[in-house]
Amino acid sequence: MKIAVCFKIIADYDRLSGKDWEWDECRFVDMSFVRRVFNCFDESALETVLKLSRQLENVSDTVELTALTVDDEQGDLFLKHLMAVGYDHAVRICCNNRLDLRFNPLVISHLISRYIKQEGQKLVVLGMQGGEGDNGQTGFLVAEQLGWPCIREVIDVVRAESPDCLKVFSRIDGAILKQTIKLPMVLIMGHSLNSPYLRVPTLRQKLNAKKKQLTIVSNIELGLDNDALLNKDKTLMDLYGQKPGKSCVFLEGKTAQEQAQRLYDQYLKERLS
Amino acid sequence: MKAALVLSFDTTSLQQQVHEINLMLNNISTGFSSVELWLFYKDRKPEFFPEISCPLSDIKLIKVDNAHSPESYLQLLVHLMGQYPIDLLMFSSDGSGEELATRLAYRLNGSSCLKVEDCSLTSAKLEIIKPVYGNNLTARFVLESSPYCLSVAKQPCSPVKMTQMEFLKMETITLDQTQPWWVKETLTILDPPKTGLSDADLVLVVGQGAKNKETVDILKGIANTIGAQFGASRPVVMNAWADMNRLIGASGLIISPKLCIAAGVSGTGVFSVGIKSSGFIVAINIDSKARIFQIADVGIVGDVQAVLSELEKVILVEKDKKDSSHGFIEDRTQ
Repeated sequence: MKIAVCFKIIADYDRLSGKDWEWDECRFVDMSFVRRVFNCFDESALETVLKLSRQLENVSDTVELTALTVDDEQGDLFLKHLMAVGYDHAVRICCNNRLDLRFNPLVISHLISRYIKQEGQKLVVLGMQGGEGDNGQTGFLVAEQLGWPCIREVIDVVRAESPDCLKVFSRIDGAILKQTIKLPMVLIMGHSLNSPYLRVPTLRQKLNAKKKQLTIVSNIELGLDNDALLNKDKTLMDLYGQKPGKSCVFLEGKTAQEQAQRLYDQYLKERLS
Repeated sequence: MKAALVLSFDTTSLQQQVHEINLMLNNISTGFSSVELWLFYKDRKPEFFPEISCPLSDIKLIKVDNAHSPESYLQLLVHLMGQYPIDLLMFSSDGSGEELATRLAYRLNGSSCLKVEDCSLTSAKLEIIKPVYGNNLTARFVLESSPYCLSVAKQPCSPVKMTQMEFLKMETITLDQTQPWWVKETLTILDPPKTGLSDADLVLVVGQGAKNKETVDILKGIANTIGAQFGASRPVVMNAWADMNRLIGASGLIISPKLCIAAGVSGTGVFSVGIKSSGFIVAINIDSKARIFQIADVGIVGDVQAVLSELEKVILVEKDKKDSSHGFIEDRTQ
């Protein structure tokens, strides 16, 4: 079975202070000095699929895992990492760098779905949201373009008795839904407590991955020219920073006891009564 | 411009969802020629309705056979849009609302956007405001194609009342629905009852600064002693140090207690959105530069466990004092 996991590498926003959030005349925020990390929901998706592949290998014929991202060269390091932990193929879809894809989940989903169709994948897994746009729509749009069933807020997926089905656990209003679903399908990962983080490769795995080749595909090769990548759905008019923060009063004290007593006397006594 | 509010009667958070939509309607409702309520129901036809903050022209009650299948809702919505075209559809802030808004707009060649905080009509185009960059920035967009399908942003808990609407035009719609062929088996496992965290007056929220499960357990005990509800940031929940229903932030609960103590929380954008509406915020963090202090009223730079353990002692001493003085007064009156 061919399985693709789509992921996004994002700047680690936690490393930015308030004054770092500045943008240029094209409303791009410079993140070049910030370390990059896997988007947390995508990281869950990548680990969940590694675990699923282990189960499927025991019962079915070949399982082929593809890690797929739409990015520039900066994504290559992460693709190598994924090959080291067990992904068979690492694919980067590259587009013209001058195009703004941040708020364009429609185009991202076109690129993904074209690749998925071309490669005959049976299962596509993505994180539920993340990245600059916080769009939260790519998975739904991939499902629409492929015409496949879509399950959102997935927390786990395991093999089913029938080889053409999977058991999918997802969170719905006030409950967890366990469904047996026939392939093909699109799964959108939510908070997965079973696989919150991606495994770490060994040194040997890292060295082996170095020798493997990444696959680079351009938008043109997928049949979408640069004009087709323009955002015709919505136009970004402006960006706004956070409103000025509160002027926090810091409580001094030589010991935790002093600090706690001051906090209680000056601020909590009335509020807790 | 015609608008419709698309909601599901059987959801557990209907009244909260309507509160969130009402906040949006308060800003834009003057621009609408009509506003309809499209309310899905499964078994029993609704008799009471959530209080909408603008006059409704019509209520359509739509029977859905398979409440767990987004495809069923989509088929019904596409059919209804063919019969009763609408320019703007507003969906709930939950996953269901987000999925329906996105997929319906795609099927109808419209524009969609999720987590919308505000919208306005400008030169017959819809402008919306939504958070971007992990809730660190806000962006203003113009949506290009009607119908516009929006899901609204989550807001702090303030559920609206349910009421009867006797004099309103009401229409019941039942249509044939194809069952999803891809679902072979379904089982629903109910979540534990709600925690009371979303509408608590006093909340202690713990972040990764707690460092381990043992400390988090101690802090849960302190929350219990001081009468606070316990909440947690995403790393704490993902490390299985706290239950999922305690998650605070953009992908969890948005709370607005009178007093919120944020302990060992760094203050990322996705977390801060969950507590920033609190009446008074106390932040405790070992790092004096932590971003949480930007949204706090009072800050303490120090060890979370040490400060909170001392605070617990102070509160217990004060409680004892109060109890004994009450006892003294009661004794005198006997």
